[in-house]
Amino acid sequence: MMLFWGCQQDDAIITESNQKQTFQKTKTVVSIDQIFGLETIVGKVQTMRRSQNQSGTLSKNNTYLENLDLENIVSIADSDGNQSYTIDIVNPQNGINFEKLRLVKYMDGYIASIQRFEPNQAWYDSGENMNTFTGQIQNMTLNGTVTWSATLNNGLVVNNNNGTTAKSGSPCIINIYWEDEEGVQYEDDPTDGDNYTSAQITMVVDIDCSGSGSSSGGGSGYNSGGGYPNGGLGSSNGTFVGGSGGSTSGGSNNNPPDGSDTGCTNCDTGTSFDLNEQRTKDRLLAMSNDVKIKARLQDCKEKAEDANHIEEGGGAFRKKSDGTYFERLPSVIQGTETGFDPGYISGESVFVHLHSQKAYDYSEGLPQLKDVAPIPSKVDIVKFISLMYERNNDTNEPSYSDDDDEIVSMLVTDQGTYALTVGNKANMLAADVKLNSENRDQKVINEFVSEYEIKIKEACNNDDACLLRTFLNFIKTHTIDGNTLGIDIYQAVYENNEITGWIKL
Amino acid sequence: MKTMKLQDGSNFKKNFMKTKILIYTIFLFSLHFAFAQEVIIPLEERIELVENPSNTYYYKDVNGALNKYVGTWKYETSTEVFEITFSLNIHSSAGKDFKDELISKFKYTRNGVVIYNTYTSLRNYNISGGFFKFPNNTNKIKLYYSEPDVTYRTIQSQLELEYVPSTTLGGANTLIWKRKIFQDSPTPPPFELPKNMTLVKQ
Repeated sequence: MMLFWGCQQDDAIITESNQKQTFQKTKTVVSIDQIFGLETIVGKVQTMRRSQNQSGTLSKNNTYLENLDLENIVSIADSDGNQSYTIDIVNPQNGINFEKLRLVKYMDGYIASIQRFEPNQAWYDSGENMNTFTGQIQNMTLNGTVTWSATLNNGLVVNNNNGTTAKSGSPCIINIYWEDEEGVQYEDDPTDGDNYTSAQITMVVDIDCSGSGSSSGGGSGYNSGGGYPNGGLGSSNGTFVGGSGGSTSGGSNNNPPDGSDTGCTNCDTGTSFDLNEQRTKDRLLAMSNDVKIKARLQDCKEKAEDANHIEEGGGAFRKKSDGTYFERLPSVIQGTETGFDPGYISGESVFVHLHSQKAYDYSEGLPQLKDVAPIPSKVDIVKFISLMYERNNDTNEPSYSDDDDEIVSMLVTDQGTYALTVGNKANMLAADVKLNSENRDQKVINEFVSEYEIKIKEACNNDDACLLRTFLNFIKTHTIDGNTLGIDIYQAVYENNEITGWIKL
Repeated sequence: MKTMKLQDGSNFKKNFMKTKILIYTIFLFSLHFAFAQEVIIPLEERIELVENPSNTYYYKDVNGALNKYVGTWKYETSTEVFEITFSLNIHSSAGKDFKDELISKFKYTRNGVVIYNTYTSLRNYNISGGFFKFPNNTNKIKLYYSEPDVTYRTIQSQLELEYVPSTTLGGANTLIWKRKIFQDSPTPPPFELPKNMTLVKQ
């Protein structure tokens, strides 16, 4: 079966129906000794803050993290693999204000931050129900940089920017790896395997607040045969594995603040959302810096910006074990068609194509040049949803490429380079059943088509700014059976014709 | 007597509290209703609306603009017979919004062979919808088009209908049918139904 990515073309892929997945989030209260390695991590965070305090790098308002409630740690995990720990910071001098240390799972480690809550008196007097939190929240890195802040009223974000304030600063990333007595490093605890024979293994914790990837840190040793007590703090130089930890600056966003431990409904996805966003940006940047993908994106950009170029083009990419990508070229490039035959090959996760500024339409007599919208088309959306389905049912995809973050559809236009990413896997799979499967629902398809046409194309004619604005509204608000499509969209940031970052739209 | 007074006072308090709770409940319900209700927009005026994404709209056919299309229409040549029946679908979902729209059933016969007959199936969304490009001219309407089991380009096929009222006494109203599709090559899409037709009201 051939698969087309294009702005007009549609060859619907017929796929078998699949089971819907449900998103689950669990919240439990644990003590520090119940979570493997957490005591070491928290100890490292405290040491770092103590060191910063002694060196005078912290302002007076920063908490030193000396007193933490380690018996009542809020653990939140969801079915997408996100995990966070929230620890109350005990500080009697805070008055009605309070602070929390947040550790949120990020790749092989955690992102650490401090959240400061400044409630209004009425909320405090009413019994401190976090579902109805009213006041200010500030999110800070461990070295005191405010990364975002928000005003909440009755649990809902009410301040300007329609959400949190603009982000700035880089998150502090805790990287965890393992080192044996011979100095060999492991990403995972090697003692989990049957064949590991070394007697001594050390869990090493690096904290990187630089955003550059370099880090300094220490380790706390433990004997693999006898638990993992806190050992002597050492010093080592490490490199953060697999993430840039780069700046999150780039404008305001509409995301709710990190409030998962508060239970406030409007902030329900806050923590994992922010983390997912950062992780997705890192992945997108890594992808767009891959030699093959970078070359294809550049080729597409040159063609998209060339007003005389009147056809599409692109490539399908499969990640190799060394982290680089293999490219498969399309079998059909014609007008607004970029076709791949077969439509999907096991392991492929990134599709890149371009929209030319104009294309020939042969439907009425002599071919006529018509404008092509510089936004993802209906077909692009449907095919991305289909790709999610293919990947979800691909039992042969390699483990180094099986994250949902790997699944991306990049579109290059003369107005910008965009990436469709997985925002909600369950919603996308449910949408696939209605739009692509044997049981596809013609009413749902018509709704999707007609609402896209009316809300975007008909409303904007050929106004590019309008097209992007209405497209974003559509992708965020269109629902199928009450669920959004589950797709996020990012835009590439170019400097000197190179992609240097991605921002979420 | 003292006890009686106390009971009366207690009942009064209870009744007062009940009343307060009732008023409060009604207030909350009204508040919820006020924020949850749909914003009704006349169907033909939709093109002029700049939507607020946080609203839920109901594009309602308050002026009966769809009525002229409702009923059975027929196209017939020496080799082909096509018959389609449009009916109204009220308050149909449209993503997060709602709309009134046309739905249809049709039968197409060519050289005596029945190609499609959706009258005998549950299908009524292959040709459906209803969008007026020009608010002041409801004689032209756009629908969304697909053919049963033809997956080719179903994602963007459009149908434009133009209603032409009869100009003669006792004459039949007609419907000019034009299928619109962006075509990347001279090869026509594999649809079975004629691209252009003039149908007569039955």
